[in-house]
Amino acid sequence: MDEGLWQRAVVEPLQQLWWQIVGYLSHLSTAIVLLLLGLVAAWLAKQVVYRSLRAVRFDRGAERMGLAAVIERVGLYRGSSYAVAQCVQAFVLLLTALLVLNALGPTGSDLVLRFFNYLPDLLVAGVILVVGGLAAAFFGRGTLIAAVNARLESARLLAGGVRLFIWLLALIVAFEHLGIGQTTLAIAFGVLFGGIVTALAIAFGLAGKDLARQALESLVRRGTREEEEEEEEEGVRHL
Amino acid sequence: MVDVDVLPPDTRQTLEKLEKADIIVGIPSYNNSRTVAHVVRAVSAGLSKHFPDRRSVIVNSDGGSKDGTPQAVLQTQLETESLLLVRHPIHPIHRISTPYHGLPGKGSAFRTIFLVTRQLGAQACAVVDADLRSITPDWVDLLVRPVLEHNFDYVAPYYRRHKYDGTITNSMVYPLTRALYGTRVRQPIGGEFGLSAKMVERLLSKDVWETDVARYGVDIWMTTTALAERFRVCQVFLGAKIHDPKDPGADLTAMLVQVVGSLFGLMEEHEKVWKNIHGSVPAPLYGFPYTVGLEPVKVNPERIRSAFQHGVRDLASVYQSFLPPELAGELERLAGVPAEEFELRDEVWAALIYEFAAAFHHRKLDRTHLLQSLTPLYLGWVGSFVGRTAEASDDDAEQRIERLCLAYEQLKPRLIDRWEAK
Repeated sequence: MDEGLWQRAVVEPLQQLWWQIVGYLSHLSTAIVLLLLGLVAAWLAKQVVYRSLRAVRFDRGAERMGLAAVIERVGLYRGSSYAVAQCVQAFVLLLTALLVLNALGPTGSDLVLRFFNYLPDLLVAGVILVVGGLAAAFFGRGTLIAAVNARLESARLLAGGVRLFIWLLALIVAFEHLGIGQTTLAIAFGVLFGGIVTALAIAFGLAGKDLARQALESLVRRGTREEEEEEEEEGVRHL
Repeated sequence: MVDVDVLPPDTRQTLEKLEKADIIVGIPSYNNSRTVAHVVRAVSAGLSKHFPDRRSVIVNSDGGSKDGTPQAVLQTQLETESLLLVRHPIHPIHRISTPYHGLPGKGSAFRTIFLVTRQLGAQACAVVDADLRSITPDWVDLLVRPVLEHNFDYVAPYYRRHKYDGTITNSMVYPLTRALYGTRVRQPIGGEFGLSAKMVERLLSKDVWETDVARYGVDIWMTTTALAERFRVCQVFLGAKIHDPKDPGADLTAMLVQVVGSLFGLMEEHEKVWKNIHGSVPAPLYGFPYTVGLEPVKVNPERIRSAFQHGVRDLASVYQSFLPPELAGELERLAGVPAEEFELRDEVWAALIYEFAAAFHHRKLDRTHLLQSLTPLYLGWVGSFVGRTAEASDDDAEQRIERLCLAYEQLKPRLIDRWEAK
């Protein structure tokens, strides 16, 4: 066989393959080192954040703000400090994954760039969800207590509805911010909300027309006989 | 805003003309035209009869009545011939009707009355509700004389009341105030009070007039301030308190939030005082106690218990977030028992109130939500009390209140523990 042909057909491809393998192994080893370092850093970050938050009694503050209830609701039962520490760990792991991808070559670098461009929107969406969760817990509880004190039979249902509504609203705003299914979600929400209102209107206006009449009559009477009715309800004089 | 600026310009001009007074009797009002004329006549007669040589002013502080209450105050005539006065007043009894500024409520009305007292340099001030039907001229004497002649700073009322009249007072305000500050003032939020100039000055010096104190919280705030700051306090027997059923527009939860919120807020202010007090002593009682006929009160215990049971069932998650498991469990048990076995024991009730106070202090929950969630439990206490005293006389019912007070006093160390818990 011609030596030049042998060189072009076998040796050069093999050399290229070898250099590619060496290059890839170099990237891979860097990636593995980064991965190991990232895992350690994530574990350390989790421990530091968890212990620091415990030291400043973050759990109590979170309980007061209603954050603890939100965290419990999403299934994290080991306390607010632990949940935040886990989030930090997850974040460091995510960064590690991105660095590993970057170390593996140009395709990974592109992914990393796209991710960093997307990161601010992701953070804002996260904040929207946290605020939405807090608002849902606060207003849900307020509605529940007010409904119980107003002696409504379906107090829990009403409070659940308020919570669900605020969560849905927060989710839609968050997704809209991320540019995910903007139109679909807005339409879905509109249809759902419109459907609920229509259903309530039909139920109250047609099926429950007698009830509606009684409720309206009661409202009108209430304006004129509020004092007497209240006294009749319980009899006792509170103050 | 400078205090005196709170008074409207025409009221300030009137006060400048009057220059000086010895006694101020204040009548806070809001749509009380049905009863205020009687109150004004009784106060005028009391001042003429008991303090003929003193310069007195009646001050109506009105919250914007639409039913002509201020006009009724100013136009009411007193027929002195029918009073058979031994001595006629040396000075005419002046009347002022002035709107108050600030948050709508009794506290803002009191502030105006106190400012008039300060402005005229009066030695004594009394306040009486405008919706009273049972006030007599002697009430003025009883509220003012201990200040003028016995150097008391704060005169609280002592009434005969129906066993189901004043249930917030009986279940929480009286027992807690007594356990905290060690003085037995039976009606800490009675509505009628006598105050010395020193006491008025002290109250005006406090920056509370934009808080719940300006609303329903003013009575408990004044009484607590008097007790915690060791002013000389006494009680006077006024007989029966019969008044219009309730304040227009008042709502039970709003009342509870304001009264109990003020009570708990004051516990934070006077923490150092109440932690060092054990047991209680009665405040001196003046006047001649007599038996009076009381208005019957019809009660619907079934409805009250039902409100408690539904409340405990629906708010279980709220209570579990700050109550210890044994108390939350006891509430759940009570929500399921039949009517004849329903009893909220004194120790449980006192412990519940102490847990609420500690949760309020540690902000375990939004404070308004916490106080609002007390409503069903309070109705549970009322239902239990009604169930246990249905056949009891008013005196027997009073004995049960006494036992409740002792439970509060005995459990006070628990309150201190929970209050100090980190």
